[in-house]
Amino acid sequence: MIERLRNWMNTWFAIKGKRPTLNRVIWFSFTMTAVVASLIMGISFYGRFLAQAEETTREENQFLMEQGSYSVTTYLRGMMNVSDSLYYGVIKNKDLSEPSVEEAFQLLYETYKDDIEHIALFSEKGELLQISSIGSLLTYENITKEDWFQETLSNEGNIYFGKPEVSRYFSQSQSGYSRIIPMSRVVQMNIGESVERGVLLIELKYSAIEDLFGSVVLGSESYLYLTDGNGDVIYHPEQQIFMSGYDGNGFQTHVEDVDNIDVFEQTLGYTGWKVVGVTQLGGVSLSSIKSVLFVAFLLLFFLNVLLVINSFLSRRVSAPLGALETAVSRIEEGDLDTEIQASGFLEVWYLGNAINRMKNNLKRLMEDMVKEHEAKRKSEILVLQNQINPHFLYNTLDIIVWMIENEKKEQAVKVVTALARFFRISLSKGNAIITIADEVEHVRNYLMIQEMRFKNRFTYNIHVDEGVADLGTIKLILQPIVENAIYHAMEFMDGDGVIDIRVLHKGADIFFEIEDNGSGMTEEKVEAILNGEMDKNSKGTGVGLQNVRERIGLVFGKPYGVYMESEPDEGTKVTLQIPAISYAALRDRGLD
Amino acid sequence: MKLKLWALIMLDILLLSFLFFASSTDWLFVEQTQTSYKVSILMEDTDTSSDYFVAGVQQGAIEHNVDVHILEFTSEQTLEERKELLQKQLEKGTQGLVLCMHENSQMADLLSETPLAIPVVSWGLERNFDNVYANVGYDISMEVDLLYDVWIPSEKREISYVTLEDAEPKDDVFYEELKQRAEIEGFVLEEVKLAELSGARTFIQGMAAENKRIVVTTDELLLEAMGNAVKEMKLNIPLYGSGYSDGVRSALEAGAINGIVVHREFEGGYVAISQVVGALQQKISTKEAILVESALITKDNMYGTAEETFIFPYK
Repeated sequence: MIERLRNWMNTWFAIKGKRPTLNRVIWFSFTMTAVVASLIMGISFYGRFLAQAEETTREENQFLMEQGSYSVTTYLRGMMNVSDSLYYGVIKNKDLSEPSVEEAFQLLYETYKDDIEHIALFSEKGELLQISSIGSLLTYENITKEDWFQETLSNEGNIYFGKPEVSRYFSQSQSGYSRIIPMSRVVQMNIGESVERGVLLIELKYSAIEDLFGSVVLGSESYLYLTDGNGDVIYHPEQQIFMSGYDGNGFQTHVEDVDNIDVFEQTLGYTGWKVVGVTQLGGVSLSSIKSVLFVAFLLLFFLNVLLVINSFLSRRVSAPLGALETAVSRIEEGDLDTEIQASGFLEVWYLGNAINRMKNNLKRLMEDMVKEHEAKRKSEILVLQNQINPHFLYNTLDIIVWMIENEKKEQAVKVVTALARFFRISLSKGNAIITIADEVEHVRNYLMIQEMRFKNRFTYNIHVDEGVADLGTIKLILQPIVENAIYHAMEFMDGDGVIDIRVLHKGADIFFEIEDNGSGMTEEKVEAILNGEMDKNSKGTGVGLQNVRERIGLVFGKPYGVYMESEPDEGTKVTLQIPAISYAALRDRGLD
Repeated sequence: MKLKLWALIMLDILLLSFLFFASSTDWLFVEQTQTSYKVSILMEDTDTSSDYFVAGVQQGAIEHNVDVHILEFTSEQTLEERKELLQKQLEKGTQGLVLCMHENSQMADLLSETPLAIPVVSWGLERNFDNVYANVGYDISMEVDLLYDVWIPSEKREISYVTLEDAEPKDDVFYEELKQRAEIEGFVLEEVKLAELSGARTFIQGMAAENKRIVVTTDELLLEAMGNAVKEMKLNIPLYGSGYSDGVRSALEAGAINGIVVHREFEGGYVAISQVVGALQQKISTKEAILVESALITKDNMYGTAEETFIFPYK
């Protein structure tokens, strides 16, 4: 499962089959984290919101219910005060036969007739002793059989509240058969000299209770009802339907604390009655659906904002890395001059700087390698230059010895002088670069010495174009060619050999031409010499020419080098081509 | 890829817009306000029982948020006048009708000549008109049975059914039921028609002298008058009937009336208005005949928990 997920993620993050990109991975990670966090927060907030809304509804209804309870309590306490006033202020202190007793009954009745149907005083045997209005006790009513009467007598000292019933004991009522709640108590009555027990009944109008509850307005799905201590309903907003057992549209006769219905209960202190509030909570209403949609909207909006931020952040992180990757690719291709702009976050910035340092080190290393290679090349040039000196020196010294032995002092002096000048230029303080003037002078000295040695065998001519004397050249490039001409071309010449040396300035190049009229060579031999394919045992291996050719190639590169034209019995012409560069510029190249 | 991305962005914007408008405006979902209905109650010859019926209607109206308009037909009105009254109610925008009429033929005429496109619920005797949506009534046959259940054990086998000469048709139905059952049970039933209400006292005196008949009436005023006569003259006549007036209840309580057959008028009104609202909300798709409970109330049970609510409903 995890493997499959990983594969899927790799496929999804990858672009065109490549490995996953950092940009996508960061974006996805951030987004997924944000989505999960948003969902958790959203669900949590919505749950909290619902709970809070329910709690508010509950609190509001409880507050209203408490108001209802308070109103009923106040009303009942007021009625109990009426009872107390009548008992302690009148019945207990006065003889019942006194007219003031009847007046007190009338007065209280008139004061409270909106709340009271009748006030009546009964003897323990059920005889009507006093009544607030004109009515009399109906003869067929035996009041002592009534539940409230018996309950009152059995609970002396307490005020008894009965169940709602129809007022039916008296011949005159304010409004016919009206519903009342009997409130009664045992009283001690003064009748003449004796004190007797009696029952004081105050019929509380049921309509007063209805009005009290009717004034408490709850929501359309909520209502209050009143029960006695046994749970029997005293007041219910749909009392008749309730009592008749009709379970009609939406009317709930038995309320339980089921889902979405809250039931509050508050006991009224003295009576033991309970005010019960029934509240419909929550449920699937359009309002709650809209709340859900709004939470979904907020989540989606939040998610969109996060996507944009994540996209921006992931680009901020990955863009410098991308630029770094591009720069490294260019360095990889050999462009060590590529500038790496270190940017982005600290770690990327460090990485950019590190790569920059690495690139600089690499560049320096490569330059060192070039220098090292150049030094090696120079040392090879030196080795090649050094190859030419010993043979000539031995031969010249032989000539000088011969001249001294034959007492040809002047000639010996000339040769020694020429040799000294020849070596002075050859050494050139170790410099590989000399002026063309020195190179020509060098070969002139050489020719003079060789002329002494091969007396009258050849003559030579040197021509140098104007303006080339101060140009630079690598040294000792003419001498080996001239040496070949003397040793190989002039070998069989008898005084008519000519060697022409010309230094010509053509365009941007200098051409050194060494031409002889000697025996010449076949084309094949010329090719063999130029390609260095001469037999080592044959006379003239072409080492000198190869030496010159390699040196020119090493210093100036292509197309500079050595060219040779030869015709058997006609002669040979060797041309050296180098660029026309001033001596100073050539030295500045570091080739010296 | 770009096309897919754009499609995704468009979908996202659409979803966001939908959620916003659905949650924060009423453009897509409108909070349904509690519907208020206008219902007219057309009643014929109201009496005490009608008060309880009206009380039930009002209770139902509170529960179902109905604006009730009660209109009374008097016996003096002609059919044309009644039709005119009904037409006015329709013009005022009444959405439902509860008809409380005693005579089937008059009701049939009224309904046939006034095309109604609104739900009509009848109260009282069972009707079977096409354009009556539901019948809410009581079972007269059962009420008669209740009386015979008391009479059969007694020795008296003669029944005087007393009416006034201008008795209502509903009394005829009751009489017919009494008569059928009398034949079955071996009772002799005679119909006594009094010219005036004041004749009740004389009639009772006559019955007292005879002392062998059961007296029964469905006229509330007549029952009250006869009950008062019995009470005042302290006679012992098995007097039965139907009615809710204070006089009837007082006479019942005093024992002057032996029993009254009653039905739950309050619940009748409540159910009738519920049926109209049900029809308006299209909750009920078939006609319904709903009978409310009937009971025989006597002196002994009139303050019983269940019986009390028949004749002393919580209004």
